[in-house]
Order: sequence, then structure tokens, then C-alpha cells
Amino acid sequence: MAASFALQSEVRVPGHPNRDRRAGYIPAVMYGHRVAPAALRIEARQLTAALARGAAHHLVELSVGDDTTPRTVVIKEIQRHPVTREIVHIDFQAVSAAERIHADVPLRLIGEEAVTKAGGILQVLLHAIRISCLPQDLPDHVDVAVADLAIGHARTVGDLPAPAGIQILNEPEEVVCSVLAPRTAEAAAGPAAPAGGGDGGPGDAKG
Amino acid sequence: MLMPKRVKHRRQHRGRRTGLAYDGNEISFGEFGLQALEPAWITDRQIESARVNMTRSVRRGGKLWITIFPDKSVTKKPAETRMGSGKGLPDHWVAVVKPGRVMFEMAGVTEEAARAAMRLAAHKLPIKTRFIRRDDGGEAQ
Repeated sequence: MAASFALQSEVRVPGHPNRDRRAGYIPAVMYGHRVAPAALRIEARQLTAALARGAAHHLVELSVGDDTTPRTVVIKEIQRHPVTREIVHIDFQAVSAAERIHADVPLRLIGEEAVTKAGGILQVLLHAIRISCLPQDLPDHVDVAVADLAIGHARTVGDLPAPAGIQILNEPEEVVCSVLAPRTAEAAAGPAAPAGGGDGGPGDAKG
Repeated sequence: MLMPKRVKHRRQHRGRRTGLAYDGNEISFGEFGLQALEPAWITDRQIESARVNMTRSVRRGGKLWITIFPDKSVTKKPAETRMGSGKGLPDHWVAVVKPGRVMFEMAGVTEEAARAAMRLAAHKLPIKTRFIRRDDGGEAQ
């Protein structure tokens, strides 16, 4: 895939990241194989606009300061504020056209309506898969056909079509999505299992 | 009511509720979530009440996750007891929630249905909350 996003950044003197944030910049770092790590800052408006257009899953041409030759990078991590969800820091990984990279690619479900119409509930367990590929082969998503799934059936990573040049790193047995039967009124009235939780050592909690 | 099966110590210190939820602030399982905007102790009864309201709201269909667990015991001394004579008996259980924490998640329902269910759940909680979706920054890259 050709790079379709271009971002302009500046070299940042490490320390006092909140000063940069108040001035409308987002602290960033660029690193990669045989690339010296560089502390950068990037205009928040420019970055937000690029992310809204899907830059998180594409190659990005990142210019640093007055350097005229941009470097091809991928967005490796975006840190957000827990409450405001504003971006507080971003990591760029410099890539080389000859070296394979690891990346998380989102899954796009095709045919969800058919499952719902058949009375099933589609439970998505995996929203992205980890792949290894050359940067130019990086897909922005992987399609998962779910229209033919019956109640009680599941789609696993092994069922996904791996495009040429792309190696899927997840275990083939890992379940991507399954179709559940709708709950009955009795089941709905019972207590729901918590997603997390746990217990301690010996001792009775009651009482 | 949610409570631990076994604990090492029945009575706990109250602790502090400063800071933000640096973990558990993203949607992990579902498509929609209810996020806390204030710190609080959410009791087992409040969690159960919120769950019942959400379940009734969506009737059938959909899946619900409760991503907080009341693992902290709260003690209470009996009424009209003189001070002293040690700490009271465990009375109920609470989950310590900090701003940003995603408490409930839903999937398999429309956004309107999830919003309506979580609005009812929010009325059962002692804090301000916000409805979030997976695709608008509720999830890390």
C-alpha cells in the first residue's frame, strides 16, 4: 500500500511535555531498526485530522524539521488521557521497505445483518489481528465474512484469508467471533458473570 | 450480589481515591461502555441494580459485561455502640472506581438500545458517567 498521509513534525527538547501540549503540540517519539530515537512534537490539529482519515493503519510520510526527505513510519502507539480521551503522546516506528514489520490490523465484519436477522447475537472476541508483512503490503483492515455463521458456530483466525505476503501471527485456533443464541427471559433475570474479579487466599469473605 | 468467594483479610483500610483510572479506561469486550467521570466507591447493590436495569431495558439479545468487581469490604459498627472495642463487622462490598474507569460494556444491541440501557444504569450510580463507543477513542490502537 502506498503512503497516503504526510505529517510535519519538529525536533523537541525532552522535558516539560505539558508546555508543548499547552502550545497545541503533541509530544512524539520516532524509533526503528538502525534509526536513532528522536524526541519530536507534532501539531495536534494536523495529527487529529490525519487520524480521523485513518492514518493509524496506513504508512505515514513524516518530515522532521527542515529535513526535506520525509521518513516512512507507522503509528505504533497512541496514548490517550483516561478521561478526556485527548492524545497525550504518540509513537512512530520508522520502517524500511526491505524489512518486515509487525502490526495490529483491525478486522472488518461483513454480513453482520444476516446474523442478526437469523436471530443470533454476534459476539466479537477479537477486534484486531497481529500480522507480519513488508511495510508496502500493510493492509488497513482484514475482512471477515460472518453472514453464513449459524447459531453456535464461530469463526477462528485460521479461517481468515491471509493476503499474499502477509503472515498472521495469532494462533489459528483463536476465536474471532461467535454467534450466540438470544437469551431467554429466565437467563436474563439471573446474575451476569463479571468480566474480571477474583478471590484472595484462605478466609471466609462472608460475615 | 457480587462479592469475593474468599479473602485473606476481612477488614481493610479505607485507602485513598486520588488519581485517574490508568487501567481499565478502554472498552475491552463490547462495543459500547459506561465510563466513570468521578471517583467513588460503587457498592455491590448499586452494581446489581444497574445490571438489572440494563438487562430489563434490552429485554433479550445483547451481551453485558461488568468490568468492575466489589472486592473491598466496608465495615460498620452496630447502632448505639460506644466507640472503641475494635473495628466493626464487614457490612458490604464496594468497587473502588476512579475517573476514566469503564464499568459496564455491551454488545449485540443497537447504539440507541445501549444508550437507553446505560442511561438507566447511570441513574443507579452515585457518580457522573459517560456513554462511550469503541470506535471513538474508547480503545487503544
